[in-house]
Amino acid sequence: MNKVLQVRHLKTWFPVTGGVFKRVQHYLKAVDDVSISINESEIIAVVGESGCGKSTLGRSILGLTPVRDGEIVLSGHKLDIKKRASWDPFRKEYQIIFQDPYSSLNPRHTVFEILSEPLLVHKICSKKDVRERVGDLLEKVGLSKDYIDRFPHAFSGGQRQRLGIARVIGLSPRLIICDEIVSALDVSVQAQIIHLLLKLKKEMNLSLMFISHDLSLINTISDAVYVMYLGKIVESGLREEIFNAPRHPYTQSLLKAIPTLDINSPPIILPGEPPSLSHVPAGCSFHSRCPFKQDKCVKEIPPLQGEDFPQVACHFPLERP
Amino acid sequence: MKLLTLNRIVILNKPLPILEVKDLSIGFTMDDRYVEVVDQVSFSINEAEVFGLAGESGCGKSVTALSVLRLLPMPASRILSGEILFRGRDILKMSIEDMRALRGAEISMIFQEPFSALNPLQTIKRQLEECYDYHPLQEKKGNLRGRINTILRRVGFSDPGRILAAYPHELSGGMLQRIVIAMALLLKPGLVIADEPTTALDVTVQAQIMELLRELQKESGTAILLITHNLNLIAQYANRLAVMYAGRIVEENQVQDFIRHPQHPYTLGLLKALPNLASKTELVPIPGQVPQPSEFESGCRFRQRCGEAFDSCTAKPELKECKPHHRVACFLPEVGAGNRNE
Repeated sequence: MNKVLQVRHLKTWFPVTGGVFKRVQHYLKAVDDVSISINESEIIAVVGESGCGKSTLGRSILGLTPVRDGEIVLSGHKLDIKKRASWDPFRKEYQIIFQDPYSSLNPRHTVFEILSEPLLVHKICSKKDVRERVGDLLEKVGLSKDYIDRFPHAFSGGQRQRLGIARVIGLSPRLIICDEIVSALDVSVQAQIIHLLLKLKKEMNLSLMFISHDLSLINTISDAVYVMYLGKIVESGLREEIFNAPRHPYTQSLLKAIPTLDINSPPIILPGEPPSLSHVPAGCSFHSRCPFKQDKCVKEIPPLQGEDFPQVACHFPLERP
Repeated sequence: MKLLTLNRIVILNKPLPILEVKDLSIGFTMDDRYVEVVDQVSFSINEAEVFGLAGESGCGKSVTALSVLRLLPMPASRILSGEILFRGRDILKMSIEDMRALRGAEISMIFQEPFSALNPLQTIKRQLEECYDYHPLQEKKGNLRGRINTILRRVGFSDPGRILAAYPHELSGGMLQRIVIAMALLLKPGLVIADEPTTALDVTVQAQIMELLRELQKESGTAILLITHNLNLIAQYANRLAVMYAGRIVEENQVQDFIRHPQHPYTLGLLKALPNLASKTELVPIPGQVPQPSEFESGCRFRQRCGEAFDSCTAKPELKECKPHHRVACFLPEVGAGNRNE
């Protein structure tokens, strides 16, 4: 199968400076040795708690954040990660939709200006036809053509996120990175946006990379899941594998912490909070909260085992039932 | 002394209401008129009960909560009608001094954003002790220190001294929310209003905070008004709930029965739009969007989005009891649309 995206051993480290000469004291390893791949027309999800590096991963893939080391292969072309320009030929086909629909649209531009800009920059259509094209895009995402000259403030959160989608799909992308795109929305609207995306995905043969903290949402849409904790992938697998039989204690705890409508299965608590990225525990980074911790976990970093799905980074993975 | 004897006994089988909201309507000014963002809302919370108020953003749930503490912005808003009885006393008729004595001591509030609920320029100690400036107790200063330490230990800080000396920016969101909870429970209020207490937190921390709230609620017998958009949370932690839509309560029921037998098309739609962890079910969105207050209709406000609307829906549906403890504001059950369990 065609791989839309392959990332191998990606590292995005932010230098932390200090002292009189602003020397680099240490690095904040937001993304540390992460490998993922996405097939054509596949939906993968990256989950984790806030601060685990999932958004940085998305941004690094598109070159929006300088990458320290690793390999990024877009549609079979290996990029020179040290050069920003090496992403340029792929910008059109690799797009991102941001979390906050309120700050990702320029409040001083009209809908027409917002949606026409990418079309003109990438020379999708001529200036003459662009207005008509923008109108079509609006209809494609379920908004009326009459909204074309309005400003973003006139729209609700859900409608703004539709604009965010419209801005991206005009370029017929191959991969869209969706960074928490529905977390700011109400449930009923959230379902609308997801529906729209899935419909467009089918029509346009898109691949989607969902970055989210909402496991129940991911369960309903994704094909494969990567679980991140403190900058590292701790477990990956197909959706059923992750949700039915998680092998990493962290994945299991995450799943159990979610409240459900079923009163008979109350959430089970994972004690503690994720440590800060600047103080990652030695050994397995999860050992400070792990219910099954042993001596080995404190000393040795568990490698991510397995070439393809399923992968797990744990010295003592949970047994599959 | 009244403050110290708050742990009332619930008389056999007959739960006492601690808070009764009756026919409450709240208007906000908009172009020289008042728009009713809360329209004839009635519900009651019993002593030592967790009552959930659910709804999407803009449905009026937070405005209702703020009105209980009389924290609504004036004169931008106005109570148009109704009464709010706290242990039989009408809050809306109280003097400002009485209100001040009530806030924090008898009714306290936990806000959504722990980062903005605390003052960034003051230590945690200063902010916790502030409660006592407004509510002088007979206890000696030394005892107060002890009480603050006890409650901080209770909410999960093994070293209260370190926390007391800290400023908010030195602590994580989960820790701050624990402090806000400690603050809310310090004076052992009879009712705590928790407005989206975990929305800003991660799931693992959310579970911790909710469990803590539940334990403390059971220990102290405090009633909680849990306001959230998250039906899952309400299912897990509340006894009863009311669902609001566009300023009105559309359904009220006991939690167990609510999940099995939702009656109102809106609540039914909400439950179907909720992503499910148990199985890969398709999300069914509710078409359209929540109306703006300026677009509120006189009839059923869900009519435009409802798949089952018919002629009667142009009139306002009253919240009526369809079976004990279960009230619905919809005409469908009346015309015998049957028992919709699916």
